[in-house]
Amino acid sequence: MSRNDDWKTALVGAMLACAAAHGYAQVGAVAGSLDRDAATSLVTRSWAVRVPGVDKVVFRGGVNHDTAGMGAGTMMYPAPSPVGFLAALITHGVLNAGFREKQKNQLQANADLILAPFEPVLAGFTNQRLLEAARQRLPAERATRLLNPNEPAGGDWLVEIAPVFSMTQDRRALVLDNAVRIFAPGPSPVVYAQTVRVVSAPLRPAQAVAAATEPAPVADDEFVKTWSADQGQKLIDESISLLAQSLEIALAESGGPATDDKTPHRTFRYPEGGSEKMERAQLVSESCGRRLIRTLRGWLMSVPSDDTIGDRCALPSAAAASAAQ
Amino acid sequence: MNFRSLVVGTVACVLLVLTGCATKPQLPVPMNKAALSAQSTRVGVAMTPLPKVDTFFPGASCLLCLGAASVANSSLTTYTKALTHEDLPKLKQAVAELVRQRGAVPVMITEDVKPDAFPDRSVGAEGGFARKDYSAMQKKYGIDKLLLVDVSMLGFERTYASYFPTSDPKAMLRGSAALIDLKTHALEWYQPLAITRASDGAWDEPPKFPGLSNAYFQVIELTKDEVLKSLKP
Repeated sequence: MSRNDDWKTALVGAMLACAAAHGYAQVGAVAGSLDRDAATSLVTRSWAVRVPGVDKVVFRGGVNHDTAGMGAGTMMYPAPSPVGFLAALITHGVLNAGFREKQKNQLQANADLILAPFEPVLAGFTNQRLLEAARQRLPAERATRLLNPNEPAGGDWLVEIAPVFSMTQDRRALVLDNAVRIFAPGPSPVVYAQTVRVVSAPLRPAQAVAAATEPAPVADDEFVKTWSADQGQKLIDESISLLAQSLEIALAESGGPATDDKTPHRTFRYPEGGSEKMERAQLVSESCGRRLIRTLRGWLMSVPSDDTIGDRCALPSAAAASAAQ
Repeated sequence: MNFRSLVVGTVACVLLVLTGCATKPQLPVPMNKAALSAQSTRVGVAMTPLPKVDTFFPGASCLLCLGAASVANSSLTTYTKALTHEDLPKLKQAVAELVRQRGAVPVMITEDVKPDAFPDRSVGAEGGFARKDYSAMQKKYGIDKLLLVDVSMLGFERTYASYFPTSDPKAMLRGSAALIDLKTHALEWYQPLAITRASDGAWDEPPKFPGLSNAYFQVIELTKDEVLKSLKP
């Protein structure tokens, strides 16, 4: 592996860590809205989005950790002496931690197998192409220009993103986790940070597939066919749509949070592929068959309201709300 | 005492120790569709007292191990105590409504039913029958059947192998839901509740543990779903 490859691998790792863990969310919870809001309204800002340094769009298989772990057990430590006992204890701890990490990696590797039929499409799907298409779907007041990874933003508000896509194990939906950071013009620390998750509306199965109890072979899988048709047009188009939605949500939210501590939390249910998922959150807005909610982590999530609707509008209602500001 | 008697006696003792205290777990009993369809059947709907939300560390079995586990998870334990039962106590109302929809007459029992306060049944500890004698409820409330939701453990579980965790903490609920014919003590429905949910992403996010909190509220919702789905007409 070349040094360049090392660098890219590290960058992908950092993107995954940012999106999956809490780093960005915690910064976002602290940063909240932009401090310079009074100086520049959202409508008059000019935006520049930096293309992520990693070339290819990051895709993963959706993974479930409900069954992860090794279960309870008892360890009998050989203890010929206090030093021997301590050595046994340390050895057990090291082996145990290693095994757990290996198990998590294995779970992810198994989950990623779901993407195998799409490798030819994903191999040529770059972040440059993704962002170029996504920015064209933003409303006029969010017009953005693209920056190369190290290009300065000049007088524009700089937007850095780290999108990571997941496909559900039933191949019926895509989930985007996009860690977004915004910098004011000029030398500036991060003034806004947020992780936005967007869940696509599920693909509808044909009657025969809905009634089937066994998953179809990949060659016969109607969802593989749907995503892959026309050189993966549906997969690419849905990814672009999710990214555009996440950008619109983040840019709109950066003007001021739509919820406060008084907004009640409740448990929302939504379809993620063929499964029903739940999230404890505050309702931010609801329209176009989608809900925008704020999770306990402070992340923003755009989810289908139910499994019959989900994409009636090109963008969630946060766009309309913020455009009116 | 000859040697043979000694061996037989020892084997008998060992078998008694190994099997004497074991209670066969009650297997699920599917809902008897006729059980709630008779219009004159009065069904008491009750719940056991909800346990306090807590942390559990199975596998940390020695005193020192348990101490180490408690210290290592102290911030989670502290936070756990602030969690509420949400709308779990209202599950009774939803159950009663479905009992009514199925044709029987629901009788809401507002007091908490404590199984330990009822006598063990001298016979019928075999599968398919209640282990406690709830006949007193029949007389007190004028009911024919008792639908009892029993939540025995609620909170977060992290498995251990002595001193070391073998999993991340997960939200969990343990318990059962049962429909008992108070004349025969037969279980006309028995649904064990063993629901576990992991945090989506990182779990170690003190002080409010949003990932685990989200999993906790999912567990409460899933429990309600699990109880209600068998009762739907």
